[in-house]
Amino acid sequence: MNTTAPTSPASESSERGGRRSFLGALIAVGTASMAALLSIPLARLALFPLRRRAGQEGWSDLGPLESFTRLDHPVARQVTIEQPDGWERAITQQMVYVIPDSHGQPKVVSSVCPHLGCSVQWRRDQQRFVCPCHGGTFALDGHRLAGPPARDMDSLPHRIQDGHLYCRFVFYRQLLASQEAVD
Amino acid sequence: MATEIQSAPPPAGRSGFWRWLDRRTGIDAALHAALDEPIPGGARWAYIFGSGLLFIFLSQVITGVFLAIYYVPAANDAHISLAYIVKVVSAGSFLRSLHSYGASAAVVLLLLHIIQTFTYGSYKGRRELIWLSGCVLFALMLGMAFTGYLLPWDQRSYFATAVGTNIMGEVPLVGGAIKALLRGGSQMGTLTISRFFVLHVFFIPAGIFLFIGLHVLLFRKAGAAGPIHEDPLAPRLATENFYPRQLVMDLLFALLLVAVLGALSYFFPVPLGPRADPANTTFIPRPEWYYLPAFEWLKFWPGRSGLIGIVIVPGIVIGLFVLTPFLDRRLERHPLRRPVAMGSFGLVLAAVVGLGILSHVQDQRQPAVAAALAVQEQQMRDYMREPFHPMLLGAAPAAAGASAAAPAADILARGQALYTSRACIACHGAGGRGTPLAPALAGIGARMSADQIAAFLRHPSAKAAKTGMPAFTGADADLNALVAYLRSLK
Repeated sequence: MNTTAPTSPASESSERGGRRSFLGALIAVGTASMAALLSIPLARLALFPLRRRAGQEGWSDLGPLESFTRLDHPVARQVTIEQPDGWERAITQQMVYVIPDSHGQPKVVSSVCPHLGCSVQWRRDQQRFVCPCHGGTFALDGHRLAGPPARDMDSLPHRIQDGHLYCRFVFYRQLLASQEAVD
Repeated sequence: MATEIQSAPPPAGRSGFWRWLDRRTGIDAALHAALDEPIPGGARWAYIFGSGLLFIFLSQVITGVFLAIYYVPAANDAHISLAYIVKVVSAGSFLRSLHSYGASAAVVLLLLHIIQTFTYGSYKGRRELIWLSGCVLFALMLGMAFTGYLLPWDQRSYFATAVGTNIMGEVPLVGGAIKALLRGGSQMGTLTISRFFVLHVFFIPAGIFLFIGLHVLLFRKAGAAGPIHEDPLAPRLATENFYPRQLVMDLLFALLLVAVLGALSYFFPVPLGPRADPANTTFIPRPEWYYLPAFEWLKFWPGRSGLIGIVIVPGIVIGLFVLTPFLDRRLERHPLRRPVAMGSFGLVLAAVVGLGILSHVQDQRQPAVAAALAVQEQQMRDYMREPFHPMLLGAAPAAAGASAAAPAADILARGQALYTSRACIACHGAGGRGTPLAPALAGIGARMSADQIAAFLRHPSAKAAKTGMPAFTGADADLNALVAYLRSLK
């Protein structure tokens, strides 16, 4: 009747088996949790770049606002942009133009042609911007006049702080009808 | 007739999935073979060092592979990429410290493993090959420590390796060749890093994997030797299987290692020193602690006697150590009844430890040296406190290195003016460094001839034209100036 008698070899072996599988489960859980714990710093290290934003950090000073009070022609400014790339930092110069917006206030446009990326130049004799590559033309306020470009000149984020005009340079995709930043 | 042959009855409660898996993989039999290894005399804490070493090795492989995500083995990049890991990347300093402390822990565990197996006479009873494969692993591990130490390319690692490779150069006949082969030339430089890196991550680890396999295979063939009163050839003691008690002990030890190394790495991260400056004549090189005994030993052998210190005495000691199972052949295992073997072993061990301590004491006794070493420590701490400074690209104009063969400066100036006015700069960037719109042109002089560049500018390839590259229209003199400027970009 008493099937659980401690002398029964069958029950003893199953008891040992029970202890063994309990230890086995303990070992498995312990090892797995240790591995999970150790994989946290590994994952943080490997995924680190995904949490960093690329592109220009900070703003470029274009000078005091007084230099942009009479905008009957564009004012060219060279901005230095820094592009972080891992432990390296690439420094390049880009040209921007300060031009009047519809209210006569200064706004900043990129000199990069929205067609295929050539550098648009102001032609004093024609009183318009001309792209030297494929002949796109733009008005003083950056509006597209003629030629292959699909949109106006790209306006850049800008702001006024402590009496100075600042802009942040952004690369935009070419050929599109709307402004879309390059990642 | 049984329809299924099994070495052990399947424990009750096996799930259907497990049976499915076992029929396809034989996992039950594999686990049985791996875990049910009989240990004469039962599980003991004395046996944990071997598996501890295996655990540290795996940890080194994993942390090393992850560090390699960012590390670049070249003289210009090695130090700054590691500085980036240590100062910028999340968990970078922690994992690099874990890797560095792991190397020290491996040396400590290796010594404990050797002391345990030597004292227990575990190399006796047809176990010579286990011992020999272990000796190879010992050498490979010291090779890992030596090659890995250079990779940070900071002051400490650079000068320690310069001294280390110079010492190898002292070996008669082959020394010069070994030194040149390791350095990739007569001087330390970018070739040295890349050779050390390849040794550290490919060649030596491959050897370690191979010899760990061999070591374990031979160990399983001979069987565990058991305690000192066990007969190494015909075990008499009752056995206990590796699983579960010995495995639990091994895992608890691994847990202890993780806790200690993790706490050290977290609270005392390993510092990185300033970038190696080969021109620095005042730096006092000191090797990592486990090479201090060898460093101190060599001070005793000035000039021509170096042959004795570098080759003869170490050769005899290493030879005796490697040949131990062939020299100490009696089956007697009790350490007290093996006075010659244990005596020599203890002597060498004491000499090694003594030399290490002596090296430290001598540095402290010489005020000038102690002060200089303290300054070096301080420089390292100062460097760690500095924020990370990225490597600037394109900041300096490409004018450097104007030689007699270089085109006249006015042609370059004219070319540079054209580069801006013809709007090349808009897409290819200042100094030809490239932008997201068009590739970099720096270094193009090495890839294309002047004629090729001129032809391309006049008639861009279809692919280039499609992405907005215009054809150059203008005088040949202007074209030549532009080509000269492009070829000057570096």
